[in-house]
Amino acid sequence: MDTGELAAFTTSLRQAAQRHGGDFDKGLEEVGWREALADDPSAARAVFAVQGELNLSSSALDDVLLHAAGHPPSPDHAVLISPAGIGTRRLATARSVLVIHGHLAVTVPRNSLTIRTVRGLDPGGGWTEVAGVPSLASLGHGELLSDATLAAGRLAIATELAATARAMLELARAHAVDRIQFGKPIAAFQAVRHRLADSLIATASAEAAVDAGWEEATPYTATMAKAIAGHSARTVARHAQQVLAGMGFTSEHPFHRYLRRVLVLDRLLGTATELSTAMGQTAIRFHEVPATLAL
Amino acid sequence: MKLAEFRPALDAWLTEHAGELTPTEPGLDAAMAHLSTVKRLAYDAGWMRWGWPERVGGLGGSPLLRGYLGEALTARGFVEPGIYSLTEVLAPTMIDFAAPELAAEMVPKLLRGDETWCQGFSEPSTGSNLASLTCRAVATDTGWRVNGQKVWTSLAQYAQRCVLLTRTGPPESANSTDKHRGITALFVDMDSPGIMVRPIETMHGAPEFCEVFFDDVDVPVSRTLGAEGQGWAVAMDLLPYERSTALWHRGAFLHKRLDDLVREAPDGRLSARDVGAVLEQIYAFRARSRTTLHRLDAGEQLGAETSLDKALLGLAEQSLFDLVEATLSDEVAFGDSPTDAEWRSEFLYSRAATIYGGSAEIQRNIIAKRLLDLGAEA
Ligand SMILES: Cc1cc2nc3c(=O)[nH]c(=O)nc-3n(C[C@H](O)[C@H](O)[C@H](O)COP(=O)(O)OP(=O)(O)OC[C@H]3O[C@@H](n4cnc5c(N)ncnc54)[C@H](O)[C@@H]3O)c2cc1C
Repeated sequence: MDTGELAAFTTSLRQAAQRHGGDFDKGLEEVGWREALADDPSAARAVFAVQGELNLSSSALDDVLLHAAGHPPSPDHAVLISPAGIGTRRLATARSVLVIHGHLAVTVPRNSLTIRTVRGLDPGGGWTEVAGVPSLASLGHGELLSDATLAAGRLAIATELAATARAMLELARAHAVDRIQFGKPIAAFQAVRHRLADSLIATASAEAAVDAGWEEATPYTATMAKAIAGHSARTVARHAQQVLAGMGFTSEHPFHRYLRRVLVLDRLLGTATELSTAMGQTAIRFHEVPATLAL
Repeated sequence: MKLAEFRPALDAWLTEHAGELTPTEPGLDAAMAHLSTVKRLAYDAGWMRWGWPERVGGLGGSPLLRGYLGEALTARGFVEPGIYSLTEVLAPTMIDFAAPELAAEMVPKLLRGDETWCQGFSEPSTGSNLASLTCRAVATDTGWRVNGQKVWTSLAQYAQRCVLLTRTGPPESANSTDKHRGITALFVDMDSPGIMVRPIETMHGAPEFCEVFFDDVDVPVSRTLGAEGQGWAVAMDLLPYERSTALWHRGAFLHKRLDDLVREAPDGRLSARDVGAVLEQIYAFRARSRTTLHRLDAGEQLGAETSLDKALLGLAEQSLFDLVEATLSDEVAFGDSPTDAEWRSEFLYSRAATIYGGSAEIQRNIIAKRLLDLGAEA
């Protein structure tokens, strides 16, 4: 999609989200998300950005991974990400499940798995767990996933994390200019200003890494995007929470829902620290750092 | 010329001329002499002219070409980006503000390596609060007479010219609320009578900057950059350049030095988590800087948002050299081989990455005010 098409698609996604509230799957159905994805994988860029911005949850990640692995995305086909044994809410309703374990995957009937809807840290996220994830050996012959498949998933999640970072910063910024203490908006205090500035620095670097991932989609750029977006989102969450203080600690304030989602998204397909550590390990083993981002 | 053609052609040329382009001697004097050689070779072969307008001796084309040239020279260790990239900081300002004949005469000398220029902004009592500068220029029949002092002026001892900020408004204007108004930028010959340059020893071991004293120095009116009183605009125009192509070159340097570290560090000393974290920081900075260069390429006016790039450089550079110091701690602390001395010097120099070109705090003040629109500070 070019910039114009992406913007138009984004607008229709926002409108669909407004009509359907937090369960974004219905909205995605309405805008023909799976057809758009089949047409052009960069449709995912808009979907995950809107999810992050509006704190929505959906099963779009299943579609992205299925599509990248060469399976036709369908509401009947869910994805289970091991070793966490977690998937989206589609796990509860699909007929078959692609179980992903590192680079290995195997498709099994859903009714062979024991499903539990997770409340946990992010009860609104629709996360679903499989009790006792079967070992791949016990599931029989599967398929080998390419780096590109995992990269597609990582880039999608990175896109959502960067947008979530931006949204948390926006909540904190709005609060800082509104909230009066000592006769002034708290935005006047340098300690507060610098936290918000650090949040923007982190957000901008996440956005740049995500953009680079979409422009030049390789396993390396996608892994970097997820690592940077994961760390950045945690940085922004920490500063935003401090600026929001007591008000942001209440459950009426939307902040906590973003924080919850960040912590869960970071766990999928490798945490920021796991991914960057793995890249560090490779550099040490081969005595070389990977080629740079080209201009 | 497109980057896609420029890149392989330049790479081939650099490989072919690697012998002449590789520095051989340590020390700042040798580095400056070698820099002239590299610029001369690259200018004569055309590379150094791409990305600059034809009216100043360039061959036209995108600034991305300059970005890649500096990156390629740095990545191969042919130049040190700090001294190389001063061209990226000062030439665009000349192009934007000098009279066309002056720019056409001077810029080629800088590009060709015939000359070094310096940036005379900071003064003993004017660091972060740049607009309060007091180095005075008074109008004469033929131009300006300058009196005052600059400090931390990088490479002034080598420089033939200086882009100098002076106060041409009344001296009281330095403390007033519109202190930005009374400033004028001049392009000064460093061999003018009345200029005295005193190099300052630095903590990283190279006398990179100087004190510069001005005692009744006459500067012709033709050397005014922009109009009288427009000096603040000149400074504000220059800073985004300092935070675009020049930073991209620095990113190439950081990448190379991390690569050198993982090659040179004895087995077992590096932690995967630490290396990964630094790799990630450098990548994050470069991804951001790359976006900025593409905006420059698209003809966008760069401004306060480049403070984000500078802030990310500070984080990346210091995290890299913190890792160097932690990994090669004996070498940095006690080693006296040239390699050890180089790591030590670079580690120490990295401490300045959050000081020069607007400190980390000043960048955050700019980000808060201009990018986040947080209103006035208490
Ligand atoms: C290696 C090196 C090369 C340099 N090269 C040049 C050059 O070529 N030309 C040139 O003109 N200058 C040069 N400089 C000078 C540089 O621009 C100044 O050092 C810099 O602007 C900071 O000024 P200062 O050192 O006076 O610190 P100060 O302004 O005195 O600041 C001291 C500390 O207070 C903090 N601070 C100050 N004001 C605020 C504020 N409003 N809010 C929060 N914190 C604040 C600063 O961040 C800093 O941490 C160079 C400096 C170095 C270290």
